[in-house]
Amino acid sequence: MTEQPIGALIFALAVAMAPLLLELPPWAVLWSLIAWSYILLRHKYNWPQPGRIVRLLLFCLGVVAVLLSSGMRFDGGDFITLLAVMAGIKPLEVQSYRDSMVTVFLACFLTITSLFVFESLAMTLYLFVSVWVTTGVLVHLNDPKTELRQHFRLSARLILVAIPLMLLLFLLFPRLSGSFWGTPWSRQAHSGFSNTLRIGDVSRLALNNAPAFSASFTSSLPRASQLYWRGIVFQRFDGRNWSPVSAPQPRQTQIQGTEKAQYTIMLEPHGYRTLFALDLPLTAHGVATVYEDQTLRTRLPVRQRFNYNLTSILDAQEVPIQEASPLTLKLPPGKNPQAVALGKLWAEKFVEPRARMQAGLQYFKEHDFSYTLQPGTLGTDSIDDFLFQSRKGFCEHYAASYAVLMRAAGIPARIVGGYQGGRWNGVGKFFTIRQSDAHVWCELWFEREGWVRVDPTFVVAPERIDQVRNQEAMAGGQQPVQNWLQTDWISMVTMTWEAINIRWNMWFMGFSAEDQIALLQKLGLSLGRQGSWLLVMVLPSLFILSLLVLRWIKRRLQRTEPRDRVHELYTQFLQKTAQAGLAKLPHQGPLDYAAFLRQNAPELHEEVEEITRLYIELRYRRQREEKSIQQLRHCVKKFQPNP
Amino acid sequence: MIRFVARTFYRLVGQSSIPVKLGLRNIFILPTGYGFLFLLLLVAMLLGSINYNNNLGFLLTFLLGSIMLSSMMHTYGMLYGLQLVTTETTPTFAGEPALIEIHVQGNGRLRKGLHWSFSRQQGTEQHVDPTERTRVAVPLPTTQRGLYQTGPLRIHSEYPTGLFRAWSRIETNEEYLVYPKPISASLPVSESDFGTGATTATSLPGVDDFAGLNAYQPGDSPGRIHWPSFSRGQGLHVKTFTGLRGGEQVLNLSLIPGSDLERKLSILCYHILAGERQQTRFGLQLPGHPLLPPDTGRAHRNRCLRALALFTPR
Repeated sequence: MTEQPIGALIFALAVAMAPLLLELPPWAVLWSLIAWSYILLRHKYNWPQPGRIVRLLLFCLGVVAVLLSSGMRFDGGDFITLLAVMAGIKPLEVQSYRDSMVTVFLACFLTITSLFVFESLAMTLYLFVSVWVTTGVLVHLNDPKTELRQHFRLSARLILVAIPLMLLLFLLFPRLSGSFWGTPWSRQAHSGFSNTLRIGDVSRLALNNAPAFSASFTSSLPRASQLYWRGIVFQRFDGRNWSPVSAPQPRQTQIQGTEKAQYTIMLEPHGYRTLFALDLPLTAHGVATVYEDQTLRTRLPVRQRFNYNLTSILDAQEVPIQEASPLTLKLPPGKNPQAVALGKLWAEKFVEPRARMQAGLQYFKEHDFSYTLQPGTLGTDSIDDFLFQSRKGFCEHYAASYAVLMRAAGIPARIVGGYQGGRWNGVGKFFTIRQSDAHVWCELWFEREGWVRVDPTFVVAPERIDQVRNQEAMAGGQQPVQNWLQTDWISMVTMTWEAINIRWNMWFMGFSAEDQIALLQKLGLSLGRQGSWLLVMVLPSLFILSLLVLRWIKRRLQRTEPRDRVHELYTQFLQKTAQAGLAKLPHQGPLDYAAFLRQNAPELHEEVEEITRLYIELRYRRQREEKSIQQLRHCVKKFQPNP
Repeated sequence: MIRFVARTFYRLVGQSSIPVKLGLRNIFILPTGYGFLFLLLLVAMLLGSINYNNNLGFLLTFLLGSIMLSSMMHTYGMLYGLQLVTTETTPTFAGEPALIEIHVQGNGRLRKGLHWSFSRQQGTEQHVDPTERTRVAVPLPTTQRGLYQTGPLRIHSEYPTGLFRAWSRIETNEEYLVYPKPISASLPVSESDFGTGATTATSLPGVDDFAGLNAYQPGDSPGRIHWPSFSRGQGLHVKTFTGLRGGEQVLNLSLIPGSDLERKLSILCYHILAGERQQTRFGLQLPGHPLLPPDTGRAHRNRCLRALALFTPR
């Protein structure tokens, strides 16, 4: 049994595992490191190879440790841990070629798991590095005597040759939409807004800097004050939690307006059915249904990053105006008495509903309210606590208490959850909206107007929206060049990277069955489902054929390159003598042949002598002189034997 | 069953024999066990990618698949264009592998991982140089003396990834001779069956007694050169010996006791080899065959061994 290249194998495993490093529990990383260093140092210090029983024990120990650390709940993440633990101890038992091959396959498997965990451009690039190393090691296993470095070169060549076919397969391989089994792979199933809103939820989100979605506009950019990304509408309030209506109906009414916005959103998976759209969405082009509370919902939860096109009307008016549901006036009895009392006071004082609305906003402005991410805890009558005591809160506090006040004042009110603003990326020309941009605001219902957006937070913290405006002004070109130069290069680089990522995610990660059909139609290859399978059959053969043709061309080129001019000239000479009926016999060397010609055609003697002399000189001397070749050419050209 | 299928297959595709340049007609390629395992892995990856609709997963799967295909081309290329020029055989002794030498030309490509074999049990691994002519000595196990024909030569390569095996099967009908295995045993003395033995005994060169130095003549064994005199600058001299028993010897099969013919032939083989080494004159008498008169030298030895190898009792 030959010695297996353990070092190379461990290298391949480590490269495949590297992206998972932060996903794995620290003990699993340590586990692998210890096992690998043992194997690598084994020969140096003459440590024994672990026996079968030890390996079995280690295996059991690993499985138990994974189960314990997962708390007996086995999900995708623990599967990765298990894989890493196995990859850690696999090199301990590598003794034969077979073990080595299996280890390489394990490395391939590790690579694909890391792809399922991270979907980004960086990971895409890393994928090629990982495959390059794994293939190099695979070649090394099959030819252990040659240096590893040469195998990496071969591996790079294999990959370069494979890339065109890979791209074609990627574009043309028939895609199925939907999944066969189970819940898809995801570490955290849900992010962003949930279906109930409790005070404190949104401020927790505000600390999360992960991107929620990005939006790029085909129409003109909306103003900063219009960047309200609507998600969920909460109408029910039980004193603690706000929740949407349980069975919403699809929208029956129309919306009208003059300012149309057309844009594409690329949504990060959040595990809910909610889609985000600017107020108010006109249509989601079949991706989702618009409900009567002007929200968009898909049929299935969003578990994959995906793109959708939207049309919104920014100054929308609903026609005909829908009656407000009685739910939007309801307050839980006995809760928050002070707030209810204040609302009722306004209802008596102001006849006009608009005046009551203003009174509410005025209240926030006049009293000493502040906008903070650490509002502190509130008692059971949380609205009362906030309005009359702490007066420190986040957008959710303002929206919730404002809605309660307005309901008490007899105006139908509801809370809308979504995002507000976004960071403009000047490089990629899109907005990035992060979880920290999460926002809640209110909508009030007025006669003849319908639902109107009112953002009480704006009264307290206008800078939240101004901030966006500044960025927009910068990107919008008001002071263009100078500002770009002034922005520090780090933010420039991050913006560019973000832009590339978004572009990449848009057309690569989002490439779907529909895109494929569109592409094929564009190419004039609409063969239908069966037809595209046919294409897949044909592709590899085309690939092989093109490789053969390339190789053949290369050979032809190589063959003609080092022309043996001396030989060519001598052949010409031989052709001439052959025409004269004095063909050279195979056994005759040049000198023999010259002698033979001398006997049979003495009149050619001098020329033949000269040609033979030059030929031998050129053929067998170390250095070839261009002059001699010219001379030979001249002689052969002149040579005219009479038949 | 498998063997039958294989035979029918090879008969249908036609046979090639040396000299040959391997090409589309006589190279076959199939995934190895690991190749199939890898395919299985790819299918699993594809299913996973479809299920999770993960485009990166698709990309990896297609990349690995394409690499597999391009490595197939590489493996095929290890044999494609390989030229087998001639074969050469040398006799061997039963039990030792016969080495069949094959002269091959790489035709511009370094061909790695080539495994050459005539039988499943024994083969050799040797790469072929791109430009220079390479000689590959393929071992062939032997058990019995006689004249044999080499069967089909199998060349295969799994380089570079081990996922595919390209192979070629070339008919070679080269004859090779297997001498009996030499067995050391004493021989009944059969000096001078002709009656001339006694008189010539003392004068013949032998091995036992040192008789002096003679001037070196071409053809003398290098082992007998007297180096001390050469180092003294006295020119090349060889040591000469006289045999005590000396004389001519005729090795006669029927004089060896025992009933096992093969063993008797083996004993004769040993003595032929010993006789050649000791430069005695020996002849060979096999029943039913003409006598090989006593002689010395390599050619004579080979003639005797050949007679042993081919001997059939009448």
